[in-house]
Amino acid sequence: MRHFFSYLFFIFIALPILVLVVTAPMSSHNQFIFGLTTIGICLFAHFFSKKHFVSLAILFVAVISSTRYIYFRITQTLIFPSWIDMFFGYILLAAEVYFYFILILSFFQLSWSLKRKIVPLPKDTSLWPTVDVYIPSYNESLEVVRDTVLAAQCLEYPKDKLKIYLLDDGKRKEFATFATEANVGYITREKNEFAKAGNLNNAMKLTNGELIAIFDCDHITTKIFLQATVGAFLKDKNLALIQTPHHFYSPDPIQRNLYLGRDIPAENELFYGPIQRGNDNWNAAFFCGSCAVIRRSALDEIGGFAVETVTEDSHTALRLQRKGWNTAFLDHILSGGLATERLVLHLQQRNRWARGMIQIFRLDNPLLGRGLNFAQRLCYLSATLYFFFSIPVTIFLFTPILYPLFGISIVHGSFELLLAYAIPHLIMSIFANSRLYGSSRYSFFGQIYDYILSFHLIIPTIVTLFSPHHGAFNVTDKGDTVDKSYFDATSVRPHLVTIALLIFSGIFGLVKLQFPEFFDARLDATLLNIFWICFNLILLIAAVCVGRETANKRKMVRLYLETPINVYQESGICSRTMMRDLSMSGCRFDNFVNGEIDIVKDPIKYIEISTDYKTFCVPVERITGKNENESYIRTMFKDLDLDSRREFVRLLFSRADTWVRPEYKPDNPFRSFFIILLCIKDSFFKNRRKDDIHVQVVGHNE
Amino acid sequence: MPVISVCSPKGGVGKTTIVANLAYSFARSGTKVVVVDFDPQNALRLYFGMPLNDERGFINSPNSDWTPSCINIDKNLFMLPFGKSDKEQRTALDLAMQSNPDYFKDVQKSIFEDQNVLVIADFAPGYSQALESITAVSNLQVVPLLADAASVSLFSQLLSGGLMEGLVGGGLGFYIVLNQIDNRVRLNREVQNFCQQNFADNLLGMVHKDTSVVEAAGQQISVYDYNKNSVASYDIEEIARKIAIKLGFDVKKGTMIINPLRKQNT
Repeated sequence: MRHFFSYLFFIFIALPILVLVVTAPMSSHNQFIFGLTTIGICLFAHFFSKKHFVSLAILFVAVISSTRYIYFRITQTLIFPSWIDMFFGYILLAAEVYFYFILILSFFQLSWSLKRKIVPLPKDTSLWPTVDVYIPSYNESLEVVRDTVLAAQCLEYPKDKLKIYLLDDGKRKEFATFATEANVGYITREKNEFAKAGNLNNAMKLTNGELIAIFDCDHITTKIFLQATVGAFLKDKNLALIQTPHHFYSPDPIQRNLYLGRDIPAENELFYGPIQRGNDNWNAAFFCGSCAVIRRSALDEIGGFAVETVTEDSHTALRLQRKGWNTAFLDHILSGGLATERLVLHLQQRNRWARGMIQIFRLDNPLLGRGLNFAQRLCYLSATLYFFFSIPVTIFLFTPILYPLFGISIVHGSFELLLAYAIPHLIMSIFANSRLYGSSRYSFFGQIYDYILSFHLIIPTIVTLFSPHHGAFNVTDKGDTVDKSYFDATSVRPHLVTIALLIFSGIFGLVKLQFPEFFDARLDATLLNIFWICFNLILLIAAVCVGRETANKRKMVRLYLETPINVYQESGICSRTMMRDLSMSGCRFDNFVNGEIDIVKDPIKYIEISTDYKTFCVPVERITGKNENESYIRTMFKDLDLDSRREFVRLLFSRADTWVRPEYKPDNPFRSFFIILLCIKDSFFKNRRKDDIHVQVVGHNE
Repeated sequence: MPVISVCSPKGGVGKTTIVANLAYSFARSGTKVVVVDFDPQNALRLYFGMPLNDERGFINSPNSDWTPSCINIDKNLFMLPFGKSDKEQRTALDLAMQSNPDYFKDVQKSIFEDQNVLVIADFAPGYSQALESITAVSNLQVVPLLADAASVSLFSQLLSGGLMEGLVGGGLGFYIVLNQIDNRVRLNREVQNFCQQNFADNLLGMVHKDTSVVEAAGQQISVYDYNKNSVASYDIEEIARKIAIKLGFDVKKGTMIINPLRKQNT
């Protein structure tokens, strides 16, 4: 009955008021005052309270402002003097409407975020389900895959309930040998049909665990991964999937080349935080291909992993949800991986994502078909629709050159009125985004990410949209380093051309204003377009900076670990000292100050390390610490055997507290824009900030 | 006065080394220590810097007070060497021990009466009369063994009580020390693991194979003095600490040096 009255209230009172608010025509003066008042009230509320309902109220106002703007655009600005103006005018309107929908959808996705807790497993381990761990690989080096496998072996789970499989699509002999030595299962196949999805499906036929945990071959898990995720499957019998964040311990090309060590949220922070938590609230968390656990019986019901698209992960999740299975997102970083190393690889990866999501949009559109509830449809729609961004972004990039260069006027009507509607709409949407997820993504950085990709995605987007069966799976290369700094001109060539064009049209616009006797240019429209050009230029230049590949010498994780170790010299003299830090390639320990030990004549050959699990010796070669006045000796490991390597993986990567989510300052759009300018300046003048970029796990004593 | 006897069914396991360095360890910590050498080889003295031609020893006065034979090595550290002996002397000593159950209390009166003195006794490998006789007054026995395959069987035999019956078991009973462990060698590592898993209660500690031990013996100094960072020395100190805890005698806090890893150089 209460519901009935709420509906009545909504339909007969709230809705008409809303329609009135959105459609009420105002003079430019009144609209300005209306806009500024709403902004003022929202700002006041923003500083007054951090409560969630205030955020929702601000979102609501932002939606109203944007809707008013779009309504105004459609009803009052589409009168064109010529067909060419009309052509470009409608293109711009389409792009704006697209972003309006994306805005509304993302507000819907992000408004209520679910902070899921770990479901503990029962004390009785006989109730725990059996788990198969799949580590698929295609062309990655053994160097990358090895530690992932060893870390999986360190998972804390009953030995008889855990099986680990290396799924090698490369049919490589050294992988088979390694799997045997490490004592894990090795699965390969004749034909590499359907890439990763086919590889996983093939393994499903040969194994029988109740749950399947998947780790991409560079995602090194912590030992608590299964204990943190499996409990949820026992509590919710209808749960098909639990996804955890992908955390990258190496800097991605944007962090490395543009941020230069600044504390700016990485690109994936937004997705593996607010977006997935928001999806989870609507029971629409996506599968992201790795660092997830899936129920085998659910997969069986949909015929295994989806093979029709190049993003098998999201598509599989969509299918599971169509069958009524639940999905979950656990926002705890339980594994660490390597980010794509170079811009060109980043482009390749996103190319695949965009094509895959558009394939899903075409072949299995979330709005159509059975099984999803309305909220789930919107979440999946938002994800697929987002990947069309390259087209509208490009439109926005080029639109401002039309007027200064060709005199094409694409927005009809009073200039003041346009500003009166557009400014509140822009300010409110920036403001609402900043309030909602500013600490996961700073204002304007999203546009930079889009600008980096847009030119490269536009053709694949269009091709896939019209021919969704076209195209193959490409594998993102991981684990190589950028040895030398260089400029990736190929990847940013379209950006450079666009920058030149923007600058030229800006200047041309100014020239037009200077010579009114030759040109017919309106002052306000020209200045507005030049302002828009400048804004685009700044973000575009930031995108180009990512093409300046700075060298990344170290990709190792180093742990500050104070533990006593024993050092063997060639003669057999064995001395105790204190280790200070450790990485997979070597370690550093205190030099011997007493002077009895001559490490030059009698070189150091082995070190002996004790962990909670075992004591073991590894052969080493000294690098520094010859002189007594050096405080430390550095050594490099030589030929680690697998058992020793596993212990190092256990120490370095496997601890429950290995990864912590970095905390970022809350966003401030003005500050954010200023940071972009600083990043560009530093990138141009090669001012690498002092703090090293590589990620270190700091200060863990045992 | 606590008595620790160090004995082993097998020779060449490093008994004498362990006795000497345990003694150095306790002495450094401020405990008064008397080491008694019951091995006719008379070799323990060499670890304490006594010259080869110094042939003094309690064997020369088997039935009177041994105190005059006690040699002061260092602050807190005293030694009773066996002395140079012939077969008759040794037979006489054995007979004397056999006939008098309170033999040790008589000959070491002054030492026994001092409650703050720790006695560490070294014995010849396998059976000896001295070992059997001292059981009555011994508080704890330390049995060093090598971390090799043969030791695993010795260990089980010791535990089942057959081997060395009546020779060990006085006071708190016997504890094993695995000597010359070497984690670079797989078999050695496996023996360690086996012992840790199966005989954890009777395992007092492990001493690394460390050339510093040999070098120190060559120079007649303690391993610690030879190499302040020596792992073997550290291991023996750990064992000393555990013994002190087991016997319940007070090691003055802070005076027992568990291997200062670094001198604080500012």
